[in-house]
Amino acid sequence: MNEKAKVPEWMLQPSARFPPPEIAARRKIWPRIRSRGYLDKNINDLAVIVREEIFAEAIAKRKGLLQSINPGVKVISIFLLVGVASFLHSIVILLAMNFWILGLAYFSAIDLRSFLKRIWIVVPLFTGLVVLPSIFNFVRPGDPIIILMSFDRQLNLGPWVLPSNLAITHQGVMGALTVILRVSTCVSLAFLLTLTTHWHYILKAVEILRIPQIFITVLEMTYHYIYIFTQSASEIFLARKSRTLGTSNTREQQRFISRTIGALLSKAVNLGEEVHTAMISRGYTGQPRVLVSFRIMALDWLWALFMILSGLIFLWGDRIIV
Amino acid sequence: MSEKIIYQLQNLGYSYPSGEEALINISLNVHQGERLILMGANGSGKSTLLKLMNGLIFPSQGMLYAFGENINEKNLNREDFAYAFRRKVGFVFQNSDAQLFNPTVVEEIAFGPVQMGLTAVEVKQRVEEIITLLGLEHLRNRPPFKLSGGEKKKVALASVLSINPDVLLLDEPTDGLDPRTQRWLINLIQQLNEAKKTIIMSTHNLEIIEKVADRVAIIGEDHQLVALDSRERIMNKKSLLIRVNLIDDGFTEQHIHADTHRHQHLHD
Ligand SMILES: Nc1ncnc2c1ncn2[C@@H]1O[C@H](COP(=O)(O)OP(=O)(O)OP(=O)(O)O)[C@@H](O)[C@H]1O
Ligand SMILES: [Mg+2]
Repeated sequence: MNEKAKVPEWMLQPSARFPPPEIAARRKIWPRIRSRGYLDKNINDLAVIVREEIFAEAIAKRKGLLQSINPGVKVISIFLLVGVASFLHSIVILLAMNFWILGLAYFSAIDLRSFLKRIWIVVPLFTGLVVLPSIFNFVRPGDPIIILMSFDRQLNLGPWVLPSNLAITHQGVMGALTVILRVSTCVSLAFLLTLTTHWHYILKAVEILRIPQIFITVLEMTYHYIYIFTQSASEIFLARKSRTLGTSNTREQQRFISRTIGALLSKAVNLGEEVHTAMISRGYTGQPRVLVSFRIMALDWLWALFMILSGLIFLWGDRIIV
Repeated sequence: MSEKIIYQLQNLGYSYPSGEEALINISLNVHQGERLILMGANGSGKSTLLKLMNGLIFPSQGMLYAFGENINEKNLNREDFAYAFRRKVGFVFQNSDAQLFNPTVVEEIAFGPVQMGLTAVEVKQRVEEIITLLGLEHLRNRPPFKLSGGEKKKVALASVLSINPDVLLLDEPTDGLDPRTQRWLINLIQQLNEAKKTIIMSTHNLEIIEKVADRVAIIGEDHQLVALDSRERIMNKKSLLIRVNLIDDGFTEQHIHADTHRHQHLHD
């Protein structure tokens, strides 16, 4: 710091005019409104979801169906159902299972609108880009539903012979739908678990399953890491907004992300490590300790039975419907 | 102090998406060129109020006008509006970690001027002048997130000053600065204020209030505006300061006087 340095001349000048002079004139005609850039919106939404929803313990504290189940039993039963979902082929059954999960969410005092929003922001991230091409006959041959483009003749691309028209196929759409629904089932189940269970209880339950200590420590650190990462990400977005002159478009945002992602990652790693050392300094040994004991009650047995039966019904339905 | 009103807050309320009520029914005006200090216990809503005034979040209730314009999401989505507003109002965050996102200190400071469309030469000159002003020469090429707390604060301040805003929103700017740097910052704030910049800042530091404030707004632990008055009158209401948890009973009259006294020497 330099006590003698003088404030530069430009800093003593008044800055830009606000509101910009054109605005007053234009306002009455047609306010130029630009939507927030796609990335801005999505990254922020995602960060907010992870932070406010997954990490929030408000729902886990409510009184509801899943909240009253023993975490160990809950974790096992939900893993079981995730297994079931990955065997299902029938779109009808997958849909049924999605609705069934919504029912469970409803009885667990989860707001269905935000539950669905959360799921459908995450699902496209996992499936969107991978699944989309497969609906076209170029990628996956099948019976066309809609022909988008016709060519005069078959195209030969080296060893490939491409069909003479570009179409969306029945098989492609069904395949894509199956994948999307399967993923949405798994994501819903995961949210159902994380929303209704305190994170430390999940860890504790995982420990009961005799999963090695190191794995739990890694999970614990990942949890902190993700938390800090998403928090830093949304703080950085705010900070950038504060210094961004004008709304930025998607391309500018992409450039911004590629430039800052490195800084963001090291920041999160640094902080994550700091948090871990802080935990160690306060006596954390890698063993999640929770102040309640997990007693298995009659309700838990009922629940386990219910989940197993449901799983079997879905599997059976899948075989007869297809 | 000119009487032109630049901020008008009318029954402003804000709740975070998680439902946390952070501000309730705040009404106040800020005049051009004045130095307004926000005081309040931890969690009373000072940072939230500054974020609202920077148009980073938007009121849940009530209205917020800056320079006569409604600061709402719709307006800030307009490119020319946002451009002018962000040039006019600069914000130094309480948590500098949150504010620094560029790979090096130089790029951090250049971020604003580059976006203003200054030429490369102008940007370079501006960045150099700021670096000299804040004495950041030795940190020039370091990544900001690896600096010490006080260094981060200075870089954050530099990154906002390089835009040359007319209104400076400072969230606990002296937090984590050593005494000499604090004194220097107070001095800088005074110089900027003499150049007609409006200063709105939050602080817990009574010493700064003595030196910088024209008016003081106190937000209570109930997230409402408890008092808004000239510095002298607020600082004389000891019972009020105790009630809103800004000083405790251990804080004696003498302490306040010691501060005022030291203040005299700093100006020479
Ligand atoms: N991101 C957030 N999500 C939910 N609640 C928040 C968030 N940020 C702040 N709050 C809550 O809003 C209230 C006001 O917080 P704010 O940060 O504005 O306080 P502050 O006056 O700046 O406090 P401090 O002196 O500690 O900086 C607090 O009750 C806080 O818990
Ligand atoms: Mg604060």
